[in-house]
Amino acid sequence: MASTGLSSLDQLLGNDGYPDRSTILVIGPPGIGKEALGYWFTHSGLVQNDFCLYTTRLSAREVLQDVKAFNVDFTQRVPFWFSSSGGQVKFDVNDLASLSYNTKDILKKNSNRRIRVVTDVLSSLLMLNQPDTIYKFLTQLFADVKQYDSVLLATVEEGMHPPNVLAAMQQLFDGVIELRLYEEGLRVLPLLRIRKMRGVMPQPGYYNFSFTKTGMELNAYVR
Amino acid sequence: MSIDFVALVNVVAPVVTAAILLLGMYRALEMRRVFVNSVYRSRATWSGFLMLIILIQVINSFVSYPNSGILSVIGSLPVFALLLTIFAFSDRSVLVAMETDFFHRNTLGWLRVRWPATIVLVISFLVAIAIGSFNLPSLPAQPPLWEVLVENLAMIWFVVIAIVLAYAAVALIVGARRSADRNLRRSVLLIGLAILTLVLSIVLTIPFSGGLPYAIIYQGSTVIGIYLIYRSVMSLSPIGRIEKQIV
Repeated sequence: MASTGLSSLDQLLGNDGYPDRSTILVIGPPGIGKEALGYWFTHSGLVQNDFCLYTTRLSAREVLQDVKAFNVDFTQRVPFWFSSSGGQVKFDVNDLASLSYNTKDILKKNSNRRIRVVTDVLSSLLMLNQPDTIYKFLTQLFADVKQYDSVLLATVEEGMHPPNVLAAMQQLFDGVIELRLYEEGLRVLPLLRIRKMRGVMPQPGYYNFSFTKTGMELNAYVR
Repeated sequence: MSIDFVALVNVVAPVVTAAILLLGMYRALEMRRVFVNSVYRSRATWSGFLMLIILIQVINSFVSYPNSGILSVIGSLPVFALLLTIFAFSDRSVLVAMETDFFHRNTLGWLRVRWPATIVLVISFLVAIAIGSFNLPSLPAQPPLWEVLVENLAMIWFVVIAIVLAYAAVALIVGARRSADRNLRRSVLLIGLAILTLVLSIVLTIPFSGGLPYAIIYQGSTVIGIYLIYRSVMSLSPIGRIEKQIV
C-alpha cells in the first residue's frame, strides 16, 4: 500500500493508503484543492525514497508555488518533472504519443523502485481530444503503469466535462475520491467521499474536509 | 377599497431584493471560505462585496436628501460606489475570462478600453459631485446654452455611465463564451447578464416619469438583476445534494 501522505485519509482507507498497483482519480470542481492530495502523495513518496513522477500542464515553478501554499515541503527532495517548462522532460498537451513513450521510458528506468505518478493533465487532455481517444490512451497507460510497483493519482475537473465522460473516467480508475461542495440548508459544505477503492473497504459516508498547516483535516459529516 | 399598486410594488420589491442580497452575501462568504484557488476566492469576494454595496444603495434609496448641496452629494455617494464597484468587478471578470480563454484573446479590445473607460467614469463622477454641490438658480425664459447643458447634465451623465457599463456587460458575455472553464463561463455570463439587466432597468425607465409602468419595469428588472448576481455566485462550483441513504 502507498500512504496518501495524509494520516486522516489513510485512516479512511483502512490505515494503509492507496492499494498497490492502482490508479486513483480525484474528482472535484476547480478551486477546491484537489491538487493538494497529489502534493501530499508526492511528498510522502519522496520521504519514503520512492521515485515520484509529476506530470503537469503547468510549469514546474508554478506547481512549486502552489505546493508552498499548502505547506508541503518540496525543498529537500523534488519529484521528476514532466512539465510545460522547467522540468526534466517537456510536456506537450497535444502530443499523446510523446507522453505515452516518455512515461513508459521513465517507468522502465526506475523499475527497481516503488513509483508514484501524479498528474493534473487529464482535464486538458479531455478538452483537446476525443474522449474515446483518451479512454484508449489511459487504458494502455494504466496497463504499463501496473507492470511496475507503482500507483498513479490523477485529478480531473468536475463541471468542465460532460457527465458521461466523467462517468467513463470513473469506471476506468481503481479508486475514485470525490471532493465536492454540498448544500445543507443555507450553508455550503466542502465534503469528501470515497466513491470506490479497489481491494479496500473504505469508510462510507461524507467527510467534512479542510486544509490545515499539517495536511488535511477530515471529520465525519453528521447532518 | 382601492389598492395603491405603485406603493405596493415599491415596498415589496426592495424587501425581496434585500432578502436575495442577504442570502447571496452569506453564500458568497461560504464559498469564499471553501475555495483554495485565488481566482475562485476573488470571484466570491467580489460578488459578496457587490451585493453589500447594492444593499447599502437599496437602504439609502429610502432616505430623502435635498436636490443640491453637500447633503445631496453625500446621498449620492452609494450610487457612485455601486457604479464603480460594478465596473471594477466587470473589469476583473473580463480579465479572468480572458485568462481562462485558451487563446487569451483580447475580448472586444478590453485591454485598450478599460483605462479610458475608467477615466470617463471617474471624470463623470467628479463632474456630478461638483454640479451637485452647487445650488443652481432656476433658469430664465431664454437661458444661455451652458445653463441648459448643465441642467441636462444628469441625463448626459446617465447615458455615459450606461454606455460604459453596457460595453463592460457585453465584454463579459463575449468573454464568458470564450472561457475554457465551464464554471467560470457560467458565472461570468450571469454577471454580464445581471449588469445588462441593471443598465436596461435605467434606460427602459427613462420615458416614464413615474407610475405603475415605471415601478414594474424598474423594480422588476432590479430584482431579476440581483437574482442573476446570486446565481452567478452559486455557479462558481457545482453544488450537490447529500444522499440521504448514505448519511
